[in-house]
Amino acid sequence: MAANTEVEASEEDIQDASEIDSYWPAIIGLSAGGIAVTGALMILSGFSILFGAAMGILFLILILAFVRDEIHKWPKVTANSLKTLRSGGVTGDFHEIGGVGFPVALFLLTEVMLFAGAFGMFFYLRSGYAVWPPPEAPQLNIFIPSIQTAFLITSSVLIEYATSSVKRGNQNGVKIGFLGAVLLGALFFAVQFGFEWPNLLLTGELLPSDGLFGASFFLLTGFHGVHVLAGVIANGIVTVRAFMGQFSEKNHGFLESAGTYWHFVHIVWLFLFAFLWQGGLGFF
Amino acid sequence: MARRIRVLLMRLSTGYFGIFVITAAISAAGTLGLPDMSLSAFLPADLFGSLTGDPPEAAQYQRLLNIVPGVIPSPFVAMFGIPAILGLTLGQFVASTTSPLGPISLYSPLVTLVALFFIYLLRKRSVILGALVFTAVTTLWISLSELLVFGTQIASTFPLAFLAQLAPIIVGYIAYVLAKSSNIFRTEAKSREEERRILA
Repeated sequence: MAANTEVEASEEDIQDASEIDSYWPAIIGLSAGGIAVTGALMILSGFSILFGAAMGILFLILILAFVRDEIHKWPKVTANSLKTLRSGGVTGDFHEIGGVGFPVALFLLTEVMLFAGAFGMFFYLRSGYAVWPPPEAPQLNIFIPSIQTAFLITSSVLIEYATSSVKRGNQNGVKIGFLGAVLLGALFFAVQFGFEWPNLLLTGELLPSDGLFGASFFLLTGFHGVHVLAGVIANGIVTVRAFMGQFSEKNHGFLESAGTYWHFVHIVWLFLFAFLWQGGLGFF
Repeated sequence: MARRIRVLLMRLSTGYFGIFVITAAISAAGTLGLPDMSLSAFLPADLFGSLTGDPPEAAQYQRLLNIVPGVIPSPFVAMFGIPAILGLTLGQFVASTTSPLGPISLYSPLVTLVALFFIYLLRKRSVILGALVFTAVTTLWISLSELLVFGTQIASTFPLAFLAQLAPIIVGYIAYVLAKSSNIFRTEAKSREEERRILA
């Protein structure tokens, strides 16, 4: 049955391929984008809210007209995806999907740029201060972030254990590794947003309105926290799929991708720990 | 080209990235997250100072004898190779950003990188020899930094810093020997070997 689905999909792909040679999707997409941006600029610059709204409505009409023919395929696509998930995922050669390929690397590159921008903003604004951390900034306790770092190190080790286990066909190792990583990630998140943030905010020790230090602390840790949450969700999905027995020696691309993302989230934390809690590079 | 892409995919394997991140984290957190542990509590205050007639100040003496747990994983470079070297170097960089020695400490990761390569290159001959060379190179850099920043003679700072560097290296070497003899990482290394063979 699964093989038939793959054959059908291939025939559909061949049919779709004949329709690819058209410039219209790109032209319509770019035009619609241009209209949306123009409308937004009209509203934001105060030129005309009416014209801006009209541009927005025109953009929606264009998009709806463009995807009208595609919408009826969505239930089928969704059903096929769910069916693939239930049946054990996509199979393939080890070297094709076992390692983390170009798409994940590209995704991580966008994340690197995102955090590089955030840290760049932080250092640019910080350069205006003669002394860093500013004298009025509170001395943050490093005990909590040290514990959080321990959570992350342990979770990364568990993920490596799980990855090593899946390559040996040890299903229990995969389950234990990712379940542990999910729990530790959730603990990290709970400590950050259930303890440290409320503690700082409610006692008034540090507020987002407390100058650059307060604003950047909550912005960067909040930003990172959202990524931790995304990592916990991704690892949670891997865990559920591991308990369903959907990973094998030759089929674990998603597992490795989620693990790599988690490692990335971990490494960003090291910089946050050094720069926010320890006043890293304060000698410049 | 295809070969290059395959090599790139191999390098992006989560195993390598995982080792890189874990070693970086242990190195950085071992330095930043743990309280200062100084050998000064166990050694007389004028140790080595009388030899040169230029003893360090009390605070400097205590700092030089601070044990840095971040270097404990260094001998594991012999087991995990380049990803561990890069990870420990990054960890050293993160830790250096908070160093009391100031901007000069930002050169420390480069020294660490070179020193770790000694462990890697000597791994087949003798890991302990590589670890000792690592200790000597990093200690020399610490002493040189102290000379440049505080003007303290290398002869009086080197022995103290060497002791402080050697202690965690010994702990790391013992852990390395135990890990190697128990084959705890054998399967992971085997998986990477298999991966390398398939990609070749």
